[in-house]
Amino acid sequence: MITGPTFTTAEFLLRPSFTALCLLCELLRPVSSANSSRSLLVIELNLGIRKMASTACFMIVSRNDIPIYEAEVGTAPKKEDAAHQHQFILHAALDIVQDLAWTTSAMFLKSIDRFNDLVVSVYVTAGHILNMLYIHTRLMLLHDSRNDDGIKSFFQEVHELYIKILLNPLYLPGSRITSSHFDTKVRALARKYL
Amino acid sequence: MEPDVSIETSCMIRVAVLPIGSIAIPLFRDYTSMLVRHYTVSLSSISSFYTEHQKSPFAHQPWDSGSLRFKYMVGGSPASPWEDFQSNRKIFAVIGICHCPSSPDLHSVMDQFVTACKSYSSSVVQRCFAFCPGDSQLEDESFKGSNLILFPPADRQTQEFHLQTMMQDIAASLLMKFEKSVLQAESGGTILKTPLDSQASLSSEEVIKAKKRRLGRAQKTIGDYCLLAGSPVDANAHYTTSLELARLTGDFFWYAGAMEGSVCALLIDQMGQRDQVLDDEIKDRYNSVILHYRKSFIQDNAQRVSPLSFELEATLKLARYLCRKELAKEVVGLLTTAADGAKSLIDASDRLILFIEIARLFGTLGYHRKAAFFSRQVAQLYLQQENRLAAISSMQVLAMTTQAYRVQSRASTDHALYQESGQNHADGGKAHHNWIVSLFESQWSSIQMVVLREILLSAVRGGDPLTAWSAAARLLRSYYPLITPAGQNGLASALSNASERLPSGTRCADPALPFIRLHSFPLHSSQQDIVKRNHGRDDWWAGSAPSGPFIYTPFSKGEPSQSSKQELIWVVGEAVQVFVELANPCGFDLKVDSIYLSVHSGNFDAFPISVSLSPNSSKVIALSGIPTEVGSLKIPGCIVHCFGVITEHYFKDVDNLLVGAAQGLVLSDPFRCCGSPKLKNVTVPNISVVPPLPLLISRVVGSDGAIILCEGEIREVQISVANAGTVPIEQAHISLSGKNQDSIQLIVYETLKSSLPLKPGAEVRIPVTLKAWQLGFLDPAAAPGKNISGSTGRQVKDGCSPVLLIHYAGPLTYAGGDASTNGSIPPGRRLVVPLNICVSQGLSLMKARLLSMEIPAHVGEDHSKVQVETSSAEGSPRTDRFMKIDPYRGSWGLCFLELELSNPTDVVFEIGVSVNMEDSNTEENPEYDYPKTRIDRDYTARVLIPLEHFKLPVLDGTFLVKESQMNGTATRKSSFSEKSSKAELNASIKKLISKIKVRWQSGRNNSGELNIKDAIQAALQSSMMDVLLPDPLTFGFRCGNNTSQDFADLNLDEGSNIQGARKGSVRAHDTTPVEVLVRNNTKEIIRVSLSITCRDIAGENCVEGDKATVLWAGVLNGVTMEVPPLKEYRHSFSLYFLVPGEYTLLAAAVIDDANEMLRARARATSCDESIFCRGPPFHIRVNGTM
Repeated sequence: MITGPTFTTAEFLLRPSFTALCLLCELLRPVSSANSSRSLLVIELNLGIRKMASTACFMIVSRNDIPIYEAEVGTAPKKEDAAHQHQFILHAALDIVQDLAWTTSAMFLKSIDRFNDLVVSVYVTAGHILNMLYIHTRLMLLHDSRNDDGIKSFFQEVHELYIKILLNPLYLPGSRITSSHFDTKVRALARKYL
Repeated sequence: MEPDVSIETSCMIRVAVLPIGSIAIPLFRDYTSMLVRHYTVSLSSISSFYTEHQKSPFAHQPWDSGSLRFKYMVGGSPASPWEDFQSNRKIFAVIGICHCPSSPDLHSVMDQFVTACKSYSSSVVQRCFAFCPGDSQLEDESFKGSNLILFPPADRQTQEFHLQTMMQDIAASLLMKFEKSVLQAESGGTILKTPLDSQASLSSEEVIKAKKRRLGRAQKTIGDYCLLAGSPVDANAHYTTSLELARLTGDFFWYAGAMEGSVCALLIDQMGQRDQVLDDEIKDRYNSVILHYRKSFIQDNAQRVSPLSFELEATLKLARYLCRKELAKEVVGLLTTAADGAKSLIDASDRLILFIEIARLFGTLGYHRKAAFFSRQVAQLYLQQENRLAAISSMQVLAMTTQAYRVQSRASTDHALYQESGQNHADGGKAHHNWIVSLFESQWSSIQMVVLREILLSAVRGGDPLTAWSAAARLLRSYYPLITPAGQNGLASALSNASERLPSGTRCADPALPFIRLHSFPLHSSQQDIVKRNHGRDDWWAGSAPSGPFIYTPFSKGEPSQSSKQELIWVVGEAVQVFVELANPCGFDLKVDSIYLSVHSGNFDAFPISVSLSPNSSKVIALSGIPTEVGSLKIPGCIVHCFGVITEHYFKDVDNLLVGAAQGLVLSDPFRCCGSPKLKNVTVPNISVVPPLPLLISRVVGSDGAIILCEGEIREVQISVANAGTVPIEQAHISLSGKNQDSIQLIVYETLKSSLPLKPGAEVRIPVTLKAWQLGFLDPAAAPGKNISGSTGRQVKDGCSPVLLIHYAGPLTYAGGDASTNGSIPPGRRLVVPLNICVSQGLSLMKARLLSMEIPAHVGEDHSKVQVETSSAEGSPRTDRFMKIDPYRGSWGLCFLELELSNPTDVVFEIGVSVNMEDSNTEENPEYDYPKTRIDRDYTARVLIPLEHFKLPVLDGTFLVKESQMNGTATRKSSFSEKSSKAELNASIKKLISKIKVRWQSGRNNSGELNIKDAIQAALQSSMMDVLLPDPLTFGFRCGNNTSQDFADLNLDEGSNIQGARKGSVRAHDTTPVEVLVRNNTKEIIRVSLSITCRDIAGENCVEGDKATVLWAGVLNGVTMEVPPLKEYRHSFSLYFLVPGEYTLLAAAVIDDANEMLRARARATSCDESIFCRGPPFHIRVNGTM
């Protein structure tokens, strides 16, 4: 698959080329910074003293692997680059989820994948078991803590919230969740459990 | 670390392949590809080249089934510090490749080869392959027996065979060298060292330790050679010994190495046969390998060197071995562990290789997203190197991830397939939604943006402008809502920078901006409408085009399901237009250098236009072109030249995008954010191109658009139609359509008919007479009040004007007799000529009312004047007639129709009233004309029309009787005749009204007629009886000296010598014979009793009473007479006026036994009421004695 032509002349400059990368980073408008930065402030006030800064990225992936909701719910200071990296890791983990989901009847698949010190936990809704791929949804959390119980509770409660969203007749299954109420609730749950 | 490692790597003999002399790279690749095919050389094939010099150490060599494996290091590779540890890392052979025609001097080639070999100290066999030598080079004997091997020019098969032989020779030589090495290793006391062992001067303790380990290491090395020599059984024996020794001496690193070798030996021994037991064995052993590598980690020199790379390599080897779908979980575990190790790797290139290998293995497993993730990590490592080659590598690696991230360039996808998928989604509902969702599968916008951004960055750095352009275009087009205006500007400049480096006319598969969607297909302009010809009918256009006011006709034959897919016919050589909408949702000015319709069928010439779009704007533009050939035509999109590159924009893409936006799957609808209204999905109709048809064009002669007419104006215009096509017109038919059709009074159809066939270029003028309609009737807004204010509001309204439809067609067969159009009749066409009539306000009727006047008549001497007039129209000039009052027809109760006309316009009108008496059949002038009335602008004038001439000659009972019955007891029996009489009445009213024509003239050319029928009717309605019906009795007086006997004679005399002074006057003190004429206007005999009075100027009765000034002879009161129907009755008497002056004679009659009709006429309330008829007053002037 990969044949790099420059293996032999390996003259590496380990200095990361921030200048070039940052140039284009500035081009990108923060996707949801407006509301998340405010809640971030709250998290730091409430929990920042007690806990170490944690990383957590929560996503809901609908069928056809379309992300319908994403939120950075960690307490670590946000970096644009890191947020992208989190999504990359979650995206890659879908490969493993798709195989693993069929091997177990559990909905909560803990720590199915990791990259560096970031761990991916997944909660698979019952859609695939009942062969209703129509509502087959995966709640994915990228985290660096090992608080499995908390994550499980978080997932369960978010699942309930998600079902409420699904029951909304005006919500088209598979489209983005734009409800600010949902967003607030999810962030509150993240503060509570993660 | 090394790329591409597997368990079998341990048994591969490395051969460096080097280009020698000057050789073109493709040629070198070609020769190399021939060489690398020989990666295994079976032992049986080399036996002929093999000579056993001493007893072979490889006792169990499988000569019949075994083989030597080669690994070709094309371009060579540097020596590894770990050569002693793993002998397979050594380069055992060097093969030079030389292309003789480009490097003729073989001596220098040899020199170069020898120099090149020097850097491969471990190599034991060197050969230089020289391809395609010339004759002189072949004859050169000096290289016989040296390492230079010439491959004489031959066909490829021969060359390959030659090469194979050479490789077998090399293999045999290597095998002999391995034997020698093994013998040396067994006997020799060289201490095998690795970078792991401390390099500094050995302490005594370490020397002892090293000596202890020496034996085990030597055994491992011998095992390695056995493996390379293709003898796994021997290798296994040596490895077993080595493992034992290494375990005893705690030499974990070499232990692991030996274990790895033993696994390889096991695998080779199994000859590729795999089963569960073998897998488990290998898994177990490799886990132990990994464990021991990990154990051998020494903290001291961890900064410098680490066995970690071996541990990771071992992990990758195991993963590669297990890499199957059913073992995915284990492989994923191994690879995840390996990825974790990346952080601890010291060498950045090791990390690169690790990630590459992980990505490859995930890819093999079918985990494309994982593979893409690690590929991206690789790309990032490349990007950190900040050199051009690395940037290109990064770009290439990222290009491989685009499929997983769904940002692939359209060049790499089969677009036709993609388009097809969208074709059949008509079932709607959920299935439709599912289809839409699948279009936007895996839309992770933020990571897609990152990937594209990185591709852009690496392409810019690597100097690949086309890739950079494509990436920037994809980024801008798909993710503009997430990019700040500054960022959008940056991308725009990236696009233009990239295009500067591209040759002009470069095409790119990925469209950038603008977004283009189909707006509409103008079905033909009304000038060029194509109508299917209905063969065999005279009106061939009927039924083919929707007619009538309804959009849907239940009788039309179209299938309702396919109605959306309309057919469009274009004509060869006639320019057509298609409307598209462009949107620029970005924050910069977009300049589209050219845009034109893209037609793949090649029968269309599209005309490019250039557009510029301001930020966040959309625009509907018309793209035009000319069909050039007959056939079907498809327009999938537009070709756009923007940002220096030519791209094709498909309408389908944008449609899908818009549907996705509607479903909440895509970030934003580019058209809606530009403020463009939502548009219904436009279906691309089936377009077929037909051979040339005739083409009529029309224009109104002498007017540049609207025909401006005043209300009621009548004008003749000429419409010129010309054949602008190349086919003669053979049939043509004019019909009318639209509103106000009655405003077209006359079309001279014959003019067009007579000029058929109309040759190309020919022109014909059709005269059309127009009469402008009334404004007020159409437009209630133009209220009278507004008219009075004097605003000359011109009422132009679309759709008010009538439309001429000209259906025309060419000959019944196509001109060329094309085979493609066989059997079909060429369609006809329809030309719509809108008569753009603009009616401006003209004279307006303020009011029409009936005036009754009482003008007393003079007692005349010429009774028969009326009879003369009515019998023949000769005599007095016509203007007299207006004021002439017929004394016998009742000048009393004279009726005038008064029309009040106002002129709110700024021109002067002249009004002429004419009354057309239809009963006067004489040719000369059947009309009564009245003097013209001039109405200045902003003035109001009144025109009087006497209604005297309308009286019916006979008071017929029919009208009146019925009317009275209607008032009273309407019986069913009479209802029919009632109705008919009512209709008769109405008809006569209509007839009356139509006789009155009010014509106007303004200026020199404009003339017209006022449409005042309704107003007149309204004015007359109430007193129609009075106007139309004569009184039952009319009275008249005549005085003179003559007796009744010679009445007629006198009459003639009087007519010949009328004297103004004498006329109608009598002298006082003279007996004046007077006759009273009573005329019965009914059809029945009326019995009356007549009485006559004479009044003086004061109104006193001067016949009777004390102070009578008039003496009389004869009977004046109670004269009973029977007047026969329609006849006159004369009653004579004489008067003697005592005093000169003005007198008035009045006749009155009481009708005895009045019938129903008379009562009705008199509007009598009760039946016993006597009907009293009074004649009009007559003046009589009595002169004194002269």
